[in-house]
Amino acid sequence: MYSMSLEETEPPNQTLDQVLGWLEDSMSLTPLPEFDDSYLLHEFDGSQTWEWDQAQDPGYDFIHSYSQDLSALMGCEATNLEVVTGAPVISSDPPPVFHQPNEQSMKRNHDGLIDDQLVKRSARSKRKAKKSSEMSCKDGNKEKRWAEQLLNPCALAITARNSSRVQHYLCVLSELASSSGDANHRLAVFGLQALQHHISTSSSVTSSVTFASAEVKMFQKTLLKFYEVSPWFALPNNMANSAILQILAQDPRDKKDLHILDIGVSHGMQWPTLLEALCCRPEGPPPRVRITIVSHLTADIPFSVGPPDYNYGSQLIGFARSLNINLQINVVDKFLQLSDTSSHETVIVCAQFRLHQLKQSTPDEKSEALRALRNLKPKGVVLCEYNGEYSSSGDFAAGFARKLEYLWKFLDSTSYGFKEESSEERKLMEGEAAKVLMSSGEMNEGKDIWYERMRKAGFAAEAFGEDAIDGAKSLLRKYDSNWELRMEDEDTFAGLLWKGEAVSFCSLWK
Amino acid sequence: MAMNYPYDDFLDLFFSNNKAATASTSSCVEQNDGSLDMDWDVDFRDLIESMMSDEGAPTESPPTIPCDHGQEGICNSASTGFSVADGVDDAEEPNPDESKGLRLVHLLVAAAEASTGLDKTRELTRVILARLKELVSPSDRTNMERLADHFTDGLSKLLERANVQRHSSPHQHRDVHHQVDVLSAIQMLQNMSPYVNFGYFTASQAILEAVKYERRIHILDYDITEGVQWASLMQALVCKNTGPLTQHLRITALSRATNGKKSIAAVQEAGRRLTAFAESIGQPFSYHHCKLDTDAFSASSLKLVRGEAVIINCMLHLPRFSHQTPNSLISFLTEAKTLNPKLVTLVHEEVCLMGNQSYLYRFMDLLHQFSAIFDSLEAGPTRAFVERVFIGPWVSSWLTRIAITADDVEFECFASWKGWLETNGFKPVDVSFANRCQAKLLLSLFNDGYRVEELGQNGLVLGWKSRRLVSASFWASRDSSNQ
Repeated sequence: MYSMSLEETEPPNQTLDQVLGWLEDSMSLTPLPEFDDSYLLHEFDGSQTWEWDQAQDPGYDFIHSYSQDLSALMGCEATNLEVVTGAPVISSDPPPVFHQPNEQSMKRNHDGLIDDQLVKRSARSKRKAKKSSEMSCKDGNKEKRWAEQLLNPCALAITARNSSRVQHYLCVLSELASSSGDANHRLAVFGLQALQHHISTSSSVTSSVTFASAEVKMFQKTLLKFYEVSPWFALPNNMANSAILQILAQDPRDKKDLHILDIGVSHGMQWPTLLEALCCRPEGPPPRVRITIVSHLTADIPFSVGPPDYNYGSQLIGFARSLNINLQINVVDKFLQLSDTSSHETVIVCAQFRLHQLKQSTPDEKSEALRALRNLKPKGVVLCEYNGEYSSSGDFAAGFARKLEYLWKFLDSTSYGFKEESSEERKLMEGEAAKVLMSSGEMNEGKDIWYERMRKAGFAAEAFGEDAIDGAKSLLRKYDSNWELRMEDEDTFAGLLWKGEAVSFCSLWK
Repeated sequence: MAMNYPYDDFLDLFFSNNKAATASTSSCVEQNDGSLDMDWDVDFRDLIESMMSDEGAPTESPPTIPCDHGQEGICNSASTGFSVADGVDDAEEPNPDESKGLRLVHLLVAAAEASTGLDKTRELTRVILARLKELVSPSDRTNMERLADHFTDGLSKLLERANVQRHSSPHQHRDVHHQVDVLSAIQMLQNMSPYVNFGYFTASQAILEAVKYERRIHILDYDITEGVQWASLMQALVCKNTGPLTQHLRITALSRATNGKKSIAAVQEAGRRLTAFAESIGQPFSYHHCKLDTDAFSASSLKLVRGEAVIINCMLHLPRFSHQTPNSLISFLTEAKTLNPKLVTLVHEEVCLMGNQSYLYRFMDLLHQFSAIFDSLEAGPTRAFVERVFIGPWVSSWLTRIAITADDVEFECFASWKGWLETNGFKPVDVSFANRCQAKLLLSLFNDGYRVEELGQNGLVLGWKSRRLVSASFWASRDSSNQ
């Protein structure tokens, strides 16, 4: 008997109460009025064979259904349902048995597919990961980045306590900063706020446009829009999902539950596509899918905290139900309290852009966290992090320069994506990203340090498969041509670059 | 960008605290914990006030920034808050003209600094100049705005030129205004400020005194420009020489091929004008044009007459065709010394004089200088014309000059004219009482705020408020038979 339930692992706090609320909303069996079944049925229509065209990369379906999935997910709002208060655990009737229409045809195609893919693979086997030259586009880019040419010296002047210099730069920056200008103008706005905040005790200059302050509908709209215009998160999510499928595919006949540990910043955006893909497997989805969301550890890293009343759990569950997937969602607060796994589960950890916020000092929380993850004996760990040039200088100015560089890449790439000047979505994304300037901690340690840590914790790097790589490259083609994916280290490292400079990386471990 | 900030002293001036004009510097230091390297110079506050167009108005300023944060990211809660210079967070409203003036100064300095960064900061320079252009125009109300417009224009031209001729040496090009216009502008300027005539009158007075008993006067004019100086000298000679004994005046004007054809034509034109004028007042006069193909002057290229008193006249205080390094004048003077001149007059701007200064320092010096000049000019219907035709190009030529000579080692080694002249075979010639009186008389015709100071025994300097504008000094060759 399957039950969709929300299990509380912590004494009730506000977050869990809300999650509880979602669950209660989603437990109603009445069909959700906004949800449109028809396109999904279309997928399983007998007349349609699931063709994996030679011309189409395996990742095509992700692209194809990506926005549809998300839209469908957005449609799964349980807004018309009444909240039933008081009952901590609610069970429901079992969902209909998952029916595989055209199972035969799909299987056949799958076999055919396998042959095709083998053909493809052999053709590609000679192909190694391109070891791209260490061509640095930095110098060419740097001339255009005038905001940093004012912000960095200002930070240095603050460190040097040269007040007249500081005042000079702040004045000039105020003159040039503009939230409706290009990426430089915007970077000037955020940088100026951050510097003023740094030297002033009255914190009246913090940007108020962040995820946490956004209204839920706006937040959803923004995320959707952002995924359309930028692969900043879309690509790592895509690779992570591919990796999950890749790991599951290692034991295709394994009937274990899937337990995903979501230590990420996708706010639920990542999972609809995965759920879709799980459905489309010939063997169907796992009997049960659990997603344990590790909620924000600290609030100040960008993208980690959404609006407090944003309930994507119920939406996901509703969506999963429409796919006949038994989805369960947990939320945990404390990072290290992850004991609730069992050997009947395939545990996969998705750590995306959150671990860097753990402290480096004694105790070394990062390493501890990785060891804790190791102890869960996951079948795989997907690690995505920002990939910058790290130096151990603890100087304010040096750290600020690195954060500026990160924000520049974000603003610049986002401006290419959002072609129209001021949209609310763009303001929200940028305002959230700008939190990086005021956050403590080092977020750009770079690939080498992370790899070292993972190895120390007992993990071994694993290569992304052709499907994952091709899928990612396909996805990337949808975006501006300045984006680039570089595979290195025999495909265990997937680097995402903007205008030739490293932004982030994805890696797979076991 | 360079890490050395040579202009802390200057910039501090622009951030003077809002204290009364008579307050001492110590009150500022008391407000801080003393760990800031602020250096308030009260004298210059007057300059800022004058720069901000409202004379006597106290200059508003932002509160000082806290200086107590020792660790990265942590601010001492005891320190004061901070606000940006344009007073966004200020409780009281600063004078909008002054705050705009401050912003303009910051932007100009930033643009100048960025322009030294070559390719790396070209975009930054462009962006700052674009912002400046948004803020100022030649017809703005305040002096500061219009001054900023000229500077913005000058810097923009430099930037364009740098873009276009990145690998060739920038040619020394001056804005094309008709000579007639330039001449008119100089004449108007003479009515608006003692600047022009101070140089001419003091030099001419010294010349008259030196040649009192000479029959023949030969003036070697290093840079005659329009020749305006000599009209009054000739008139003085004519007035003096009422009897049968007249003094014969000969002027040899130099032109250098490096300055282009225009300068040669101008020298010839000046000669024609002076000859006609001399004839009209009955002064015996002859004019010679000494064309130098290279910059090198040789005494042998002069026609000398026995018994004449040789005067060397170097008027450097008005924009000239050429942007010369001191070396040009130095070689001229070295050579001219062999003529045993009875008097050498040297009038020059009091700006960008010291060697060994950074481009930025010189830029700030220019800003101060022209701000003082702007402030000192009488208002009037002709002012706009003068600013457009004369002062704008003047600013541009200076900006080009300091940009070109930014790496000039020779320029940097040059300390001062006084020093050079004294150590190279020249001796000072005292300024007479009459000359001093005349200078003061000249000043009395204009705005309050001008002053004349003595420059040792042999010189006078004209200043506006606290800024020295132009100095005149007098010398003779050590072997001269005079005295």
